[in-house]
Amino acid sequence: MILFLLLAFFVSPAFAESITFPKSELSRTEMAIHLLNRAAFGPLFGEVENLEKEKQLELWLEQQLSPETIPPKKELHLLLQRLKSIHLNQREVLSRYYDETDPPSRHLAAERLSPQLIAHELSLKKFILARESKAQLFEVMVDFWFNHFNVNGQMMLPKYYISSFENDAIRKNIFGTFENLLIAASKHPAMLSYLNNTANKKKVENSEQIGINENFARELLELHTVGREAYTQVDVNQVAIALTGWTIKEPRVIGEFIFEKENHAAKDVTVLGKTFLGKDAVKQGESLIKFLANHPATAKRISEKLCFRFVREPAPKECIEELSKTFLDTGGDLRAVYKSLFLSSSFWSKQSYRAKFKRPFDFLISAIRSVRAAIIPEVGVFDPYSLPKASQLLGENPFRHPSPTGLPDSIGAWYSAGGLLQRFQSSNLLTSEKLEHSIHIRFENIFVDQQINVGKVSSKIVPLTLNDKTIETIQRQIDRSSKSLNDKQRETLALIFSSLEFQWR
Amino acid sequence: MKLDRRTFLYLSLAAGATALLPSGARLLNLKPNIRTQRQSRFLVVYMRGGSDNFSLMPPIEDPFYYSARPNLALKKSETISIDPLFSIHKEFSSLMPAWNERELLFINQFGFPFVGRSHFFSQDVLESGGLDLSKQGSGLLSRALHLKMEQKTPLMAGVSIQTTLPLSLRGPYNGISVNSLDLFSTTQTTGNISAFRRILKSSNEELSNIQTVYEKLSEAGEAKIVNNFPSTSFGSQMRDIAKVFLTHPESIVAVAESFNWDLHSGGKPQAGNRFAENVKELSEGLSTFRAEMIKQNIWDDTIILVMTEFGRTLHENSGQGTEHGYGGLALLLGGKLRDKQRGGKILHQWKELSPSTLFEQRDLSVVYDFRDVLGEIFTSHFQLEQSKVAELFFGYLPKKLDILG
Repeated sequence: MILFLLLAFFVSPAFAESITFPKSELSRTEMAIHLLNRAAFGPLFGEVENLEKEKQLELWLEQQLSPETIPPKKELHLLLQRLKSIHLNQREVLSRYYDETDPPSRHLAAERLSPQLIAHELSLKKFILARESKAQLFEVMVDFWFNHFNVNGQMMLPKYYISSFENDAIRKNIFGTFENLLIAASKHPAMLSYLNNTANKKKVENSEQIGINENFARELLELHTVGREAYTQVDVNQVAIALTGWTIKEPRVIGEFIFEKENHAAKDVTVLGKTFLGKDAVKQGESLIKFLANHPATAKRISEKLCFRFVREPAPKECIEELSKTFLDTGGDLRAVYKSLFLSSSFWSKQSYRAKFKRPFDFLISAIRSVRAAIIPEVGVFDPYSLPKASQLLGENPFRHPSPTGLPDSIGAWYSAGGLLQRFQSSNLLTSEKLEHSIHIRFENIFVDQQINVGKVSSKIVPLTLNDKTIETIQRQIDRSSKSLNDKQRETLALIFSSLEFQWR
Repeated sequence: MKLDRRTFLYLSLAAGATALLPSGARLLNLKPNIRTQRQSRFLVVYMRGGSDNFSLMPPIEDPFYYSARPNLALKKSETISIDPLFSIHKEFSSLMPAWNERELLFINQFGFPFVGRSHFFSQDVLESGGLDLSKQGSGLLSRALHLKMEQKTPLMAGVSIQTTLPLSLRGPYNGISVNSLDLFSTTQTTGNISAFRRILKSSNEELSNIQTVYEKLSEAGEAKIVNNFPSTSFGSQMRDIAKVFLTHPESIVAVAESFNWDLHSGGKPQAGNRFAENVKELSEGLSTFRAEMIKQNIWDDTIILVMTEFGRTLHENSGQGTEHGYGGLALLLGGKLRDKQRGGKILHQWKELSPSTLFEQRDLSVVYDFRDVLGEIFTSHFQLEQSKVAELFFGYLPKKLDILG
């Protein structure tokens, strides 16, 4: 243990000062639950009782803030090995999956190399990493940033690029600066094709055509950086002019960023009061993106989004201010921003505890983690009972969300009678035999007694979550049932997961 | 409005109290005969992404339309001529019976007087009813239902077949939103719904009505409809809304969405392209819905408003698509239009296209304010008082367009 700490101390500068949480009204157990619900995809079976101990939670967060120091799990590597497309580079994906008859006709259903497999396997990778990886904060942030820069992996060209987008643009940059992340996302073929910058070219002489395509320029301003209130139509137009010629090299074969000088307008533009010179060619767009990345309105917007997702809604003002300050002081160092976030008093306030409603993926993965169910990766894209399909039915289709705004995160979007009924259906599916080829629940580890004691079981899998009346009701239901023991175990889990209490994180 | 969890629960469930109808009546199949019970219904369809008004309803005689759109302009032969100035896209053909019966009104230069050209800003304006509360998540249709029902809004008053509840149905009353009614037919049912109801009741008194919702959705899921709806995403939504209207007279508002209109590239409207497929999907979904409503005797009490967050630029771009514009095209549809002799027309104040008649030299200006159109639906179709309707639009008093008589 001491050796490990010493080692960690030298490996990462983040360990130089140890973490102390601000004063909180939460008990130690509640604190552990809270942090695991936000900086991880929910507590694993038995995890809370380990982390609530003196200093353990602080050490855990320290380590999470330096994911590069977390040794990868061997068995994780073996699981992921079975997903073929996620290990390929861009060129290999195109050569093995590109299908001229896209969208593929029905008869391709049985073929192994359907392009639909790319998003499907990427979804399975997301489930597996969220379930198994020890670098939980890292995975949580992959989810956050992919959603921030959402690309729809169902569309004609983006579908071939999303795996690389997730890996090369998102994963490689989310613990660096926001500037690098924004540049990587903006230059990625997935983004350039999804938001049509491939069609953004200078105007052809003597033509009535508009020439430029504003789609990416607008979302760069509105969704990725400064936000709706900060820009005008003129700014959109100017950004689009600066990004003319940013396109994809041989999109069906190579799929890399390329700057086409002949399609670049090479005109000076002024955006939010700052001028960028047309003669700078590709550097014009790059400096513009760097300027946007470090703009105070961007700092505020990113901070607001983080506080909304990780603290509570509406995002507390003091949280936004604190994070914006860190963002601007550190030149958009995301690791520093995450640290501010998880050490802020708004995060640890009682008001924030269990104040967020789980989105479908949060819901499914937290249920899976709570019983340490094993995910089995070999499920075909057309299988009606896969985990990605279960998530889709609840309203979250990983890597195939149709809008560049990404998936909504507000309580209002998800909390409705219809939505709860869908979670009830889903809880039954998750614990039924129908999903047994996708996940494996080891009932004998959860239910150690011959008689089912709901209070005891739920305190292990979802500590401090269910209220007494809910436990009593489930117990009565199970006691009255004449089903087999295993069916009763399944029903117990299904009812726990469909409870209202379990929907909050 | 501060949306802490308690308030939220209260708001979302206050509506439930009235829904505790005697379930015995339902079990014995003693449903009220809906055919004798006339009830005004209103369906809103959002064309998400900003639908290209110049391709939905091309100004077929305008020379500037052709010069601005060398690749995107439709030839007269590729359209259906309905007016000296305008034609409509050929894939609207399944709606021609409605047009010929004078049940369909086109509203050109439709939109709102705040220029944004952002999808999300514009959708929020349309769904919340104006600028003021767009950020606070209160939907126009939710507030209208709340107003009409004097706070006793039935659980199923507003329905959408979506994975998430659209903003328009969120607010003082929260509508019911499900992905598909297929989840709620008896053959699909798994698990013990009554145990589920009891555990929800133990965590929250007000949620105990969830079983009622479940039963109502299952009842709708089993509804016998006559027409074959297209198996498209929009077609399935229209099928499920038809089933809800058929089984639940208290469901008076529904929301449907049609996607993929944001065609910055590949926006050619000619046959075989995405845009044409979108129009076909929309048109066939609506016409099948109309046929079903006629069959069920509900059509004469139904109004459908199809709208989009903005129109598109007149000029095409270099990717054979168009950019975000301003004034757009809306469709108003229903048996009532025929009775009041308001259908079979195009509302417009058209001037020949030229750089100077375009708004900011790029798109159509807005002549018909969405609040005037919706305001008239609220007053004429739902009998709300004019002064109360102004509250729904944050103080804006809608002008009378006389579109519903």
